[in-house]
Amino acid sequence: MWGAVVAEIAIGLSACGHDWGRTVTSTTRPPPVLQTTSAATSTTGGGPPTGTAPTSSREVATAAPTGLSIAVRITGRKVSPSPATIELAVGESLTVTVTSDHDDQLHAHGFDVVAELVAGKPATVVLRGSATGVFDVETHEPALRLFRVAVR
Amino acid sequence: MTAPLGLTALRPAVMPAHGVGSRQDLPLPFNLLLLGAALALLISFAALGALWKSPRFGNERGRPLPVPVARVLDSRTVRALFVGLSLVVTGWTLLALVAGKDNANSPVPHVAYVWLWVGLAFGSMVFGPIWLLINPIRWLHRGVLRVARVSEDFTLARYRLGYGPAAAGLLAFVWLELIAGDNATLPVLRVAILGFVLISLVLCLVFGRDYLRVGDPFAAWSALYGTLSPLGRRADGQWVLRTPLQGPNALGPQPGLLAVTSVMLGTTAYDGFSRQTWWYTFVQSSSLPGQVWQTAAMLSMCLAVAGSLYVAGAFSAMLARVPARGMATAFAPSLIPIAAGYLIAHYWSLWVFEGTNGLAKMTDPLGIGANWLGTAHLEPAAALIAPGLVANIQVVAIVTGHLLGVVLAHERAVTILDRRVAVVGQVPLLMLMVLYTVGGLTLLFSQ
Repeated sequence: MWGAVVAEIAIGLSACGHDWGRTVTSTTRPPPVLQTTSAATSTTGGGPPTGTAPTSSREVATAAPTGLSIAVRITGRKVSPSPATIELAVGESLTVTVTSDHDDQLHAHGFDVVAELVAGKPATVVLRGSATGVFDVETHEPALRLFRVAVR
Repeated sequence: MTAPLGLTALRPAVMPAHGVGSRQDLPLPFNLLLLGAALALLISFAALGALWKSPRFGNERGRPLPVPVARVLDSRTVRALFVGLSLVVTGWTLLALVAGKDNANSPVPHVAYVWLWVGLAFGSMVFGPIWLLINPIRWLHRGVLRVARVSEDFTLARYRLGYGPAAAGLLAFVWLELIAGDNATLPVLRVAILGFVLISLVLCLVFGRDYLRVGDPFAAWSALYGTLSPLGRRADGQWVLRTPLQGPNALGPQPGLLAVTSVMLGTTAYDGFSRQTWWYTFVQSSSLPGQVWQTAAMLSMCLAVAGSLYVAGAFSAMLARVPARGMATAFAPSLIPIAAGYLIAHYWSLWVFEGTNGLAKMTDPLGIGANWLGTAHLEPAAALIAPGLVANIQVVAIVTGHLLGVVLAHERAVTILDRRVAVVGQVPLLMLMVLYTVGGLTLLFSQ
């Protein structure tokens, strides 16, 4: 199921002006958190992009078994913690939990990951470094850069 | 699997960090920053002490190309081939622009923001001012005049604006690429491209072909970066092989030269600057719209380049006891190799990555899932953008640009300044170039 979701996320990305045709999220080792995230995101893939609230909670996100994690809160146009660069090794995973005070769309450039954000509900995605480079993780309404991932 | 279409309709496109592309290079390692800065200083002081004391390039006219090669370059067939290729790519792109689908698979943003911008600059650095020949506007203008049965030399006014319109046009282009919202969507690109064609055509009809030689933004972009090409043409039409110094040195004090070279350097510097974390954190948390800050920053960068060159030129004039008038323009050609170094350092990986992606998208201009060129599955060559290689290219490009800039400034100084004061007179300019170089390396290092 997860593989299909990843494919759908990747295709959904054509919405964002660039499609690298590269899916990065792990398909082999889904951490528990992915169950909720994938269930939510597959709604995005299977129907109109409305009401696609990821229902995973932050507790689940911080309980992700391996790799780095970051929790970001968006209040209006304020991002906390303040944007920074997160170093990620190739093959390493970063668990990202975003809570916004308004409905929005989360987009991890280069990782080909998008997720719908619903006001007040934390959404979790896992980014796995594959190609080297620096990639922005941002939201779209308004356009905010949350942080940047340097994969090396 | 049909839902993504709905998503596409909902959100046609989003402005990424660059007009196209969301992959940026890893920061330059600190030891390479130090190495580059040290080399820049060393080169500058060595140039002061060791270089020639009287003008040298005036007499050097390059090594003539063998006659058969020159004949091929001048042959109607070869030139028609290049023009034909350019017109086919243009037509193909216009087809995608007018009839294609407005989604991420459209090749138009890649052609406009990567091929026309970075690709044309790189191509010109290698082959010379190719846009003067293959500019589609030139052929459109010619076609319109021919249909109207008017002479090709028809003009309404004499062209006296120099590089001014080119500077303004390039600034507008970079604003569209780096700052404007929805700049990768077809509605925006349609207005921009068709607007550009119409304005260009009117200017051509008013000013004739002289406008296309210096006033057209991409002609100037190609011609100025093209001065660095090893392939050159002497005033008598002879094809020569030459150093990257002779071309810029031969540029006369055209009006607008300072403006256009400042835009060339300033806009690339702005692109590097805008990626700094502290800057975009400030912009996106400000109560003013981000585009206000971004536009102000881009204009400030260009003004800072022009202003700093003006101030350095004035200092040089003071030290050499000559009038300051015209000094900045006289030294403006030194900015060309520096801008070229910045351009290569910033956009090499973009060119490899998105240039290739553009070719893959060109195979399906209408967005119907076609693969007319057979390039649909083309992937950027990972070896060409490996982090170690990119970092080395960045330092070599910026330091080489610095070296060429310093030598050009030296030659210009010993040409226009009295021999006894030429060495001291160029010190402010060399210091400025060290500043540009260290600044450029720092922008690549700190993100």
